[in-house]
Amino acid sequence: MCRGGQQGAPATVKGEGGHMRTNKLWTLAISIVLGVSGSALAQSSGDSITVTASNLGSANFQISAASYSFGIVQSTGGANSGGTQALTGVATGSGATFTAPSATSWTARSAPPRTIRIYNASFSSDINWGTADRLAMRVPVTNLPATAVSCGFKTFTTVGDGAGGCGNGALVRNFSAGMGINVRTGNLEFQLTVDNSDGPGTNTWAVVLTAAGF
Amino acid sequence: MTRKRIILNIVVSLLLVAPSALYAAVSVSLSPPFIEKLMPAGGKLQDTISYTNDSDTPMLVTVDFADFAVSDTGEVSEMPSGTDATSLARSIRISPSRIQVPPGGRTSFRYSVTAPEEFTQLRSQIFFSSTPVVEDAPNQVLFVARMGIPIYVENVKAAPADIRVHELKWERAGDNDERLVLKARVSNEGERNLRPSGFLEVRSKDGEFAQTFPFNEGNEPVLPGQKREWILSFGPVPGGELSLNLRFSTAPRGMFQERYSIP
Repeated sequence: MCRGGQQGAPATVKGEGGHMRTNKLWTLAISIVLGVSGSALAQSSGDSITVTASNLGSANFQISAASYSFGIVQSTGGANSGGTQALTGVATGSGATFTAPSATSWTARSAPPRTIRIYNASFSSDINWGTADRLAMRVPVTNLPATAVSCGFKTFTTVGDGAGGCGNGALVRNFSAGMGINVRTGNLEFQLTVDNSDGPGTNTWAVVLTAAGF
Repeated sequence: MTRKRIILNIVVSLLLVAPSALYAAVSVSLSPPFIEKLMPAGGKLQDTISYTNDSDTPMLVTVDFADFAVSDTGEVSEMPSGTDATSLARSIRISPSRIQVPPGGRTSFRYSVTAPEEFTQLRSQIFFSSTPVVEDAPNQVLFVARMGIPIYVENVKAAPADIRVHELKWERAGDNDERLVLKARVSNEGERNLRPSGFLEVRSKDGEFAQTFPFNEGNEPVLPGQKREWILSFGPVPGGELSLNLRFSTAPRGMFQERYSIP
């Protein structure tokens, strides 16, 4: 059956009822199941059946650093001291903002490829000055597929993923590890704000990058 | 999925995952990447999830569950465990729930499921949070990799997946129209998942270009009752008139096939 072919316009097809039974393919599918997974179709003592043919492979998540230190920072801005990398704080009048554009990079891969989603699910901090929300993070779309959308800077306590899209903790959307190639790498950016009213001390945050599939 | 592609995926997984993992400060792998089980009502099963720490630091691994939903456009949303009607939370146990894994170490998490007497499909996301064990530093951010493995338990008596194709629309995209974009609207009228697989054959009118692209390379499922608005990109393809042959699975024994001509 051939449809479409309208000159100068995208082909639109209503495909209701477009099913086609193919016994030959079903036979092939059975042979793949039996050939690939020895436990496929295996039945235990009668109360459970295990099907594993479709869930072979592995998923891998990498972050290029275990931690990142801003070092000692001042509300007047200027250079940090003793951090992972040299940063210069930009004075805002009420304090200063330190931006780490490439704090770390992450890599998600899956074989077989699959769609995954990356969002913030952070929960742990030890705050001695300011508030937990002085830290914000962002995943830019650099190196990601053209369909990827950066959700901008999300504060540390913007957690969860209840709303989908760019809601709640979503850092990037329309992203998948496995369209064309089965690996994607992106950056994680941080922004730290220090206010004039903050006292001295140090903070720690545990940033949780969640990669969830379906 | 063809036998050739399955073998290729396994080889790629071995080649890509293991060597590059050696160079990351945090690198964790989980296998399988998703779980789909068929069970009778009241049935029991046990299986394992393999966890590998290829990081250069020890990892404190903690496990938690969450319910999840998938939007029409394929966005995963997380919900508190046990709050959704499809939650598997009451029926699944996993052990250990907390363990430290050394660099290069591998461990198995054993889970068990006791199916309720009445259900069609239940699902949960099993999250593995890997916290690096490192020394404190001033104003330090610690990176925790949290990976979710979705698990679906489907009743053996549940109706198989039945994908209905409501609309397919082709467009050209990219700077030079070098990509074909398929916008598909489908729904699953069955009670089980289906991860449609298939291919798109593209041929130019003069016959100089002929290539086959996999369909649904992201291996996404269409969940029971779900309406999906899919955007799939294929290419690069040349300009000029193209003939397309699209074929993908819509049920355990069903296929969708259509031919198109793209100006």
